[in-house]
Amino acid sequence: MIKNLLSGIAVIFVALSLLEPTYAATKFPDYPTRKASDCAVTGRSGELVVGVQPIEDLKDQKTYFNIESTPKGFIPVYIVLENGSSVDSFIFDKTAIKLGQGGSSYSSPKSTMNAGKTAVVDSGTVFMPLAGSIFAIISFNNADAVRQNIMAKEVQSKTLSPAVSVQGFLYAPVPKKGPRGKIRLQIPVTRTGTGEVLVLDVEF
Amino acid sequence: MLHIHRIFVIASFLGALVLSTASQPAVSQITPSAETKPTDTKLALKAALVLTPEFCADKATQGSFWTNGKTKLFIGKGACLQFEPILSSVFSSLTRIADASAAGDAQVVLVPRLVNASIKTGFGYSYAEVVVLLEWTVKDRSGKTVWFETVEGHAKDTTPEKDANGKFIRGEAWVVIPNHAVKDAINDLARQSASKMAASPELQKLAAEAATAQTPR
Repeated sequence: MIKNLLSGIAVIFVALSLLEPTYAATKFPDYPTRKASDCAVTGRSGELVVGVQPIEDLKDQKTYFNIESTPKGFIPVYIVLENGSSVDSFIFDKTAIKLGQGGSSYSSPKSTMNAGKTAVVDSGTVFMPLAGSIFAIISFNNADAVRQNIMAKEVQSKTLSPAVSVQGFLYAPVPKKGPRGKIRLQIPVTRTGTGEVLVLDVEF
Repeated sequence: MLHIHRIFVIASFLGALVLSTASQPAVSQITPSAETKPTDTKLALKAALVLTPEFCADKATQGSFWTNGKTKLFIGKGACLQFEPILSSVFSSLTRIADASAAGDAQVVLVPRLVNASIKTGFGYSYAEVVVLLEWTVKDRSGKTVWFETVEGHAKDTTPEKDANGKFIRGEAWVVIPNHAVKDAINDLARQSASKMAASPELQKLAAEAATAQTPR
């Protein structure tokens, strides 16, 4: 009996050894980069252009993140931010991004604001910071490889030098079941030198 | 009883053998996230590197006590050891300070912030892959942000078969491998940071302006 048990343990070791290389070899394909103009939704403020492409299809979510994220309560949203200026640099701080519900209460914010003023506009929409949601999202998932991939694909803060762009994913919360409502994103970007804040506002 | 013990030993041996064959090639290696070019010329700027006690103690936590165990990655401690010597190759002078208010006559103040870090380990700690994200805020004398960047450090280490004395260390791989990977990832992070700072048009412009202001007319 004990002999059988120990033989079983040995078999499990062998099985795990065969599984391990498969796990180690897990590769997550990169999402193909695209220009803002090729995205489903675009927005513009001054010399800055933003493109937004929500990844709604469960197959695509599985392909690029190895997880069907909608049933988990979030969708990956690809964003690309392009600096069309040949002179000025802009500071993109992902922690300043605000997320709100879109829809009938939507009204356009001023596209530029003066230095020192908050970039959040009062348009009847309740906004919340998007930063930090990534930690809540990945905490439920114990697969280290999936977690690392989600982190690596997230859009990161950056100085947009002249003619430079930044791209990556945001992770927006959605209902786990049923259709989602419109989502509105506000992306404040600061012009270096003057401190002027441009607000890119998109709904999808 | 002796018979049972022998079977157990054989099973353990088989398990160990399987683990060793499942491991990656027995060479420690660093896989930098991108090609890093050495800095040819220094930026003509006096820089102050702010490494606060809070930053030096900062760590990233991953996992759960109830599932696969909680892992703490002590990024700040390693960064505070490795950043200063590597970043000093970028600026004409670099001073380490513990508080931004002590910047003195520095022309730029460099402030790091740990964004996140993640570790992925192979079965039996056959390898460890670490990714660290760090955010740099560089301010000028007036306190205005002139450069803001997220830098990624990456390393993948595999089990060294033996240590320098020829002793097998596989038994303590669960400590050795992740520690190597974290250290290497921080080193990569420092080198990537240095490379990006040196290549920044904003910092180059600031250095040029500072040089022009200092030139006697």
